[in-house]
Amino acid sequence: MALLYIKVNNAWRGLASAEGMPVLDVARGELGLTSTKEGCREGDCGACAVLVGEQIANTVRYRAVPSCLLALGELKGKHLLSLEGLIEGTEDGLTPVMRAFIEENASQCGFCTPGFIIALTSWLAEPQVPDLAGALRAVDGNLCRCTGYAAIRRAAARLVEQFRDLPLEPIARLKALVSAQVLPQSVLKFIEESKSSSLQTSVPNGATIGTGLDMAGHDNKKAVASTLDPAVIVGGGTDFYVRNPDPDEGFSPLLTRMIPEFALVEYRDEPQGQWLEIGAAVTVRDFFVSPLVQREIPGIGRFETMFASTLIRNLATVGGNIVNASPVADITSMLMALGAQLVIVPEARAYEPQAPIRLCPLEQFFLGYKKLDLRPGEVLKAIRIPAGANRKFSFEKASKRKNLDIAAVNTAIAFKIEEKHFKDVRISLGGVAPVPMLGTAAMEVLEGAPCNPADRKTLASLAMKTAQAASASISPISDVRGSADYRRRMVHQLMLAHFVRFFEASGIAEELFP
Amino acid sequence: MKEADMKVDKKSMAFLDEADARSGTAHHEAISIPDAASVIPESLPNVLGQTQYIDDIPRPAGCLQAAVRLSDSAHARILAIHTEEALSLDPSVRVILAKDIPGTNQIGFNKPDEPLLPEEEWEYWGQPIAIVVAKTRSLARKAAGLLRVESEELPAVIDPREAAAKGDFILPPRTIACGNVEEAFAKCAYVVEGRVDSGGQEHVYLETQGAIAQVIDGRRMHVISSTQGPTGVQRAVAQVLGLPMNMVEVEARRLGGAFGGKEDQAANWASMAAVASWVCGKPVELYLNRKDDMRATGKRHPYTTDFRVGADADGKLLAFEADYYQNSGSTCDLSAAILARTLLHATGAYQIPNVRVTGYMCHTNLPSFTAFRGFGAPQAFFVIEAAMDALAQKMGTEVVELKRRNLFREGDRTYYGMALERVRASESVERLLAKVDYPALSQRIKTFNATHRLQKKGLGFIPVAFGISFTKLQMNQAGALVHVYTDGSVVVSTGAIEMGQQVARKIALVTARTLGVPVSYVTVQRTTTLTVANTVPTAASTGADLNGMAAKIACQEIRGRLVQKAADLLKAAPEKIDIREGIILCDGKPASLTWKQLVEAMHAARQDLSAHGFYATPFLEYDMKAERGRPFAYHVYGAALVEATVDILRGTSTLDSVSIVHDIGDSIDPAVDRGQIEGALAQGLGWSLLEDLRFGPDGKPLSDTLSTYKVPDVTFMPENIDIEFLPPIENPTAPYNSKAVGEPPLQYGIAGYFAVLDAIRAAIGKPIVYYNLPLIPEKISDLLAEMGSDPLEPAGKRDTALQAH
Repeated sequence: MALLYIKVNNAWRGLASAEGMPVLDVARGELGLTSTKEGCREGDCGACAVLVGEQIANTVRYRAVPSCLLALGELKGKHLLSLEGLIEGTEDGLTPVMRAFIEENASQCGFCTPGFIIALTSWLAEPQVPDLAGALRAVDGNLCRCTGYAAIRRAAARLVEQFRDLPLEPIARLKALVSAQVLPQSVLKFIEESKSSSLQTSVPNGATIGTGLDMAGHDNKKAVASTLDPAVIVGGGTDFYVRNPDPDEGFSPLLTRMIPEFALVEYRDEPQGQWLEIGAAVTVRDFFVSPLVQREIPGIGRFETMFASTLIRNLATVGGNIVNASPVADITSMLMALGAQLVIVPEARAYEPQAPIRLCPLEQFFLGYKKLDLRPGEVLKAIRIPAGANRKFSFEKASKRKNLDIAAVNTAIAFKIEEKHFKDVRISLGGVAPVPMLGTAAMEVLEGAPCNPADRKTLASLAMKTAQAASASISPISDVRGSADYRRRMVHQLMLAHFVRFFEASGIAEELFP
Repeated sequence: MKEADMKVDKKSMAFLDEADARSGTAHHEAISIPDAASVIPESLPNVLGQTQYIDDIPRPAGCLQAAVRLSDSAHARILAIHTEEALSLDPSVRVILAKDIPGTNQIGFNKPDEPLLPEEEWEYWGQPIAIVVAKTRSLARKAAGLLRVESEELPAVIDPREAAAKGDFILPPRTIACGNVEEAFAKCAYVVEGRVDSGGQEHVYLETQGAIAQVIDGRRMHVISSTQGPTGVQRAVAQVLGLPMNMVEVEARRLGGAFGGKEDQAANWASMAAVASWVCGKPVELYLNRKDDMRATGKRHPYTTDFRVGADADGKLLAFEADYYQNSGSTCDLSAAILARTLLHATGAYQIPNVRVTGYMCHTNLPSFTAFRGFGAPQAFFVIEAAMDALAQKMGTEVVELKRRNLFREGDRTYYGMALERVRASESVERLLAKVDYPALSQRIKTFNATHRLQKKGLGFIPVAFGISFTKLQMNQAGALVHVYTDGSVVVSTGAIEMGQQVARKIALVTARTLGVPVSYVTVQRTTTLTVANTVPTAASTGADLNGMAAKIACQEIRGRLVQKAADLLKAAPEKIDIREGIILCDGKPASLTWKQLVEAMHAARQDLSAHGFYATPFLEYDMKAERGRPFAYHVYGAALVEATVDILRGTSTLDSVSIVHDIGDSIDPAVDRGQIEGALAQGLGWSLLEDLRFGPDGKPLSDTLSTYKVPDVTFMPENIDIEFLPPIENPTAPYNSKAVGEPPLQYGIAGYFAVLDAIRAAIGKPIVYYNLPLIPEKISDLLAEMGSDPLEPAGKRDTALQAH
């Protein structure tokens, strides 16, 4: 049986487990890395977080992900770091992140602590200037039931002070973190090994393995060939493993993240115009930080933290959010308002750049609750949004907790202002029907209506009409996330919130709440 | 202030000393003493990921894994459980049903109403009905799913008021009263009545329930349990196996959180592991996954309460009455004791001359609700605070002023007759109001609200007086075992379970201080029923008090022998000898004798270097018939003010800041106490504003995962949490005048509810009353949408609307 080669802390290991096994089980079992804790198996607590190092383009990147939702196959040729690996070679047996936790008494029962340490280590490795807000965002997927987070906040603040001056160039930063003993020496080794020539020689028995994307595709091609319909296709796994926490031995799904062609963000020129194509396997994190995405969807960055948590965003894929077919999928809601089209290819030809494609408008993709217009043997390869549009965009959601919570309802809106009129208005509504849908009644109210920022009265009246049209057009159900009445009311309110976001400077609030 | 000490920068040095001491390399006599307040070495294995929780402990050879099959309806008669398919999955699969239990199928301690596995009926959705064992956890869970259960549905009651109407109580109702309530109400200038609802709360200890059981020598049972009460587990395991307690050893290591959830209800899982191990003759681990844990285990009791409160024209409280309907769930468990604490905190921090309160333990087809930090008191505090809020609205008076006027004062007696001493209610409140500059703050909020359309701010304020001691008198006892080894190092084991509250740290400090050695000489060992027997659970905030006192008593005994020995060796009178920080002093000057020499001399002279300490809290008495007495050793006082903002458009709330003044006595370790206050606050705020425990009308658990049940995360908590400690005060029933800290600060979170309610009132401009916790966005939005409705409409009507689904 072919072994999976993974660098586990300081050594390459050949693992016999199937690619579809959750990393958490392999880490705690075969690998004996019990610092990695099982807290919920839903990605909702962060206790199982691990650091994954991989080669991306010409650099190496480390990010924290929840190991309970991570398929082992994703680690092929990558570097898995747990607390056992972080402390290797440190002078007093502690990394600065751990020391900060001790100094601020930020660990009480301790069960969540390894996950927090991993998440904060990942934050330091992210090439940006460390600040407290960033540190807290990094742990927004980690639950602690003991400390009330105050001591963790103090520990994070201490780290911000300590690591203000890290280099921003990724490799230089990793090296600086190794010098500071935040990361272990094995990271330097992995950076070296990632230059593929040395990597090949470092693996026992001269087995060929690749780093990340390039070689991984090789095995998957075989998997596709040998897996007959209906093959299981897994994106990030952040929903799949919630529903299937305990896959059968030998489970080997098609992992879309291992297909390089599925992970691109690029422009495409088509007869009907230019599109921005976002690979289905692009992670949600990479989607939000992509300069191309940010150019096409001005202000998209501010909505990033409304989607799950940092840990989940590091793993979940854009395509997975769509095919999961949740009526309240946040990325789906955003993309639907942006006029997205899905690029669907035959699964057996997933790796071919010239595979025949079928296009499907996103709003037509959902046939019923969790029913997709995706035929046997087809796979979602990418999502296209029309490029070059100088659009306005807003996203809103209602949930019990502001962060890492599934919406009761959500909505996105996109439009252009042409000659002081609303143009190409698209409004999505989630959580109001068995499928994510367009709010066509509301769109009709707005399309072609006057848009003069100086005329706040007209804008306010338009906002009210749009909100009423949207809430009148839906018949939601009641469940644990909210009653039907609440959902209808929130669609109304969130529609107003869109308008306030765009036109607050015009004084629209004074009109809406006299 | 001790606070300043925390910042002393000897930290890393002190920490290294500790690490050295642990590895046994540095028992030098030139002692550098770790700053007591600066280092928490107990967290070292935590930050390294080396702490072994149940599932991290290396398993004994041949260890099998157990899983449970849970019922999938709220109430049914079991007709048959077919095991064939499950057994055919793998040869290692074994299925254990009620009939296979070797001893008595009963683990109910306070009332024998809780079989380990049901024989005829299950009583709630998620009740374990079979144990399935296999060589891997995955196989065990899959096999459990393959059991085919034939059952016949029975009617289920979910609503406590419905159970009460039917007279279906776990134990008879209990009333405590004083004065003449009816007469007093007749004299009141203002009387308000209303209804208060508070939801349940899931513990979400990060480590789920679990145990490893192993038969020793074919006849004894050894269990490692994630429990707050090893003795309770020992008793239950002995009972289900039909063994005497001396054949069962239970060990508790460090717990990954508990919060009351593992006080009584760890026994279920340990007993199941033990039965499975006994039946299979192999070691068995049972470790619940989150969903099974959330479905099967008890949570904080939901309450629904009717109250009436009255005051004279000046706002002086004259009368209060309340009927508390406790949703007890399917079995008694700890419900009676929890109800007792509710009743004993009915008046909160206020003096009320005429009181009549009754508690009903309503039997419902839900998981057996159980201990959760606060233990019935938060429910009582929410009711009295709601009553004060409603009264202030009715009187049109400032609520803070109304509360201030009615605080407990020195010399007051509680309504059940306990004379209060060293009362610090006003001291806490006045300090708090001064520190936040309440008039200015209040004005700032008004100005903000006048100038902001889309956001409104509000303030919530709560004073707290929390009684310390188990309300069940006999539980106020503890034991400790202290050994001094011949190298001078010290080990102490008590009944106190370390579950994150850092009680081990406090015990170590008490031990070190009493013996007169640096804390780095002391290790606190895990609790087993062999080292300390007949322990009470680590609960009711009493862990450090009871066990610390027991450790102190044991240390005093050893110290007495050591001092005598030193006196003999130094040829001085014992009164001249002192031992401090590991240095033997004679006449106040360091003697030529070292600690290690003294210890060795003791051993050479064949004198005992060990002692067992036993402590029973003095002065406690309670007459259950008269409902009068002194159930508490003392009270913990404090006050909190919460500022919150409501987003009018989205119906959401944000916590801006929390200011707290709290009474920690003369703290053993202020850093630990600060951590306890911050953590309790988060749980209180979560209970008040976020954590939404739901069951369907059929009793189906609807919030049984962490994706449907949200607890506070880092973004939920306010950025500014300011905690000030009151100066030390005498407190003879806790070690070194310290005070218990676990539960009292949880009540501060309730102020969050009233802050958000205050902001909603600012938005709608009406004195609306609504007391239904948690105040989640849906309810906020609901209240905001009712801007045009009758402001004093009773909350009940809204409840129906909200809970219809």
